[in-house]
Amino acid sequence: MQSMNEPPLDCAEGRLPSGDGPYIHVDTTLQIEQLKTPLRAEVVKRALAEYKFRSTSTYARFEFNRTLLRDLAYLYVRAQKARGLGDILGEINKAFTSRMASRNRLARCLEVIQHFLDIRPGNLTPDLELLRFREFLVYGMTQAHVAWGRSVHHEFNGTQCARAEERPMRAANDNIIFSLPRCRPSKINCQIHHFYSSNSGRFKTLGDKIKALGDGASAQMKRAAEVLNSAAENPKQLCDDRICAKIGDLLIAVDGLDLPRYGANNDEDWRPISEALGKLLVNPLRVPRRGEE
Amino acid sequence: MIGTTGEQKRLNADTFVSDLSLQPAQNATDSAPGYTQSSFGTFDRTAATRASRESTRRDPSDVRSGPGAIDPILLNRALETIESIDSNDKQTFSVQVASLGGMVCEMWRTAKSSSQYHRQVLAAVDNAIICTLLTETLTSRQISAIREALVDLKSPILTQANVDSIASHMIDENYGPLAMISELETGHAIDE
Repeated sequence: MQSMNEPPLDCAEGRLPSGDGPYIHVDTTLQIEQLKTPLRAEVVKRALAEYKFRSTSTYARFEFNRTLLRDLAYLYVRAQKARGLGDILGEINKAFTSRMASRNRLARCLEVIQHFLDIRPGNLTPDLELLRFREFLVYGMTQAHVAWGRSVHHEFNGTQCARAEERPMRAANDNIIFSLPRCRPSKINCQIHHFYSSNSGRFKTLGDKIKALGDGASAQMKRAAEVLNSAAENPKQLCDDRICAKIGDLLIAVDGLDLPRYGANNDEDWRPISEALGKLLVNPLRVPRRGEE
Repeated sequence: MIGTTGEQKRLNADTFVSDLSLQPAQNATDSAPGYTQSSFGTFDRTAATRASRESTRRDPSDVRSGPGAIDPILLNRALETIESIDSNDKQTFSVQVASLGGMVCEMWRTAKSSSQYHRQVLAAVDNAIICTLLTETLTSRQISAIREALVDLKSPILTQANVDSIASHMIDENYGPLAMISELETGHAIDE
């Protein structure tokens, strides 16, 4: 078995590998799995170490920023003002009661706190517990991108997503600085519209696949198909962070089009994507089915 | 009332900045040379990490420092314990790691008055101990990473470069920086 740190085969000359070699393009889900404690991360790392070249997409890094890191930053802000972990639980429960609030974000925040409580030593005072929680959050936020970068050999940057470039930082006064710029058609920060136009045939293939699935397509894929329809008329409609997020998986997949297989932990969405683009799907956290690696 | 409260606005905001004028002098290091996409083709990762670690330690520019006061007695005890851990002896291993975890936990009491850099290095050690307790394994390289962090904590002055160096070493030894979310379903993690 190859070490995660060993160099890929075809890269000595500085060119990207392509074709049917031991190469894999990794989605956000598996990238995040690798950042966790070894119990789960090791399964993913061992599986991916078999591939001599591993890549991901800048857009996947943006998804990481937009979801998990943003929620950790939110928890940190709450933890700065709270007197104990109980206060934070109360605050986020209140904050997420709105119908507009995301259920997934609530679930993420609660699970982070719950897991922290599970591993707490139990002999710290509430204020020290809170201090420890804040420091864990900062350590995770500020170092996560380092670990992210080390798990792959290359990051494709087709969309040139400006929001992926942001990194959480801590100021001298202990505040967290983490700003994701807004993207709107009137304020274009990336090249997503050009990326779409250059690969419009691939996106059409993906759209056709989703249509063919009909009711069998996931809700997320159905939303993606709607976005693809409007983008076909005007690609600049994608230049909006509320819109591009709906086709995140498709953008990541097309970004890694040169590689023969995709790695993801979300079969419902990635199976049709892989089939449409003629790729193999690797999900180390699932028992393989017939016809898969 | 939907989405109109201050809390709701903050919840929906993408920005977490209290005071932009207080930006740190040094950005958090993304990754060591040899790891980034821009340096594609540089693959001696271990050497690159080592070089980066040494260069960042030597370079005193654009780093902020802060005084620290982690209990020196606890630090010495923790160093003695980490040196004596025998991962081949399963019976004593878990006791020794739990003991180390207890000492690290006690260090938070004195960390309260120390610099944010000391607290970050302590978080890195704490994170590593949690991972070790979960996996019940500890390699000699992992012991070296923890020892390095504990030795750094003895220093009265630390900088962001120290924190980045320790974190870099920890990541190299498979101590993921997000151990606190280990039970989280990743499916949730990418849906807004």
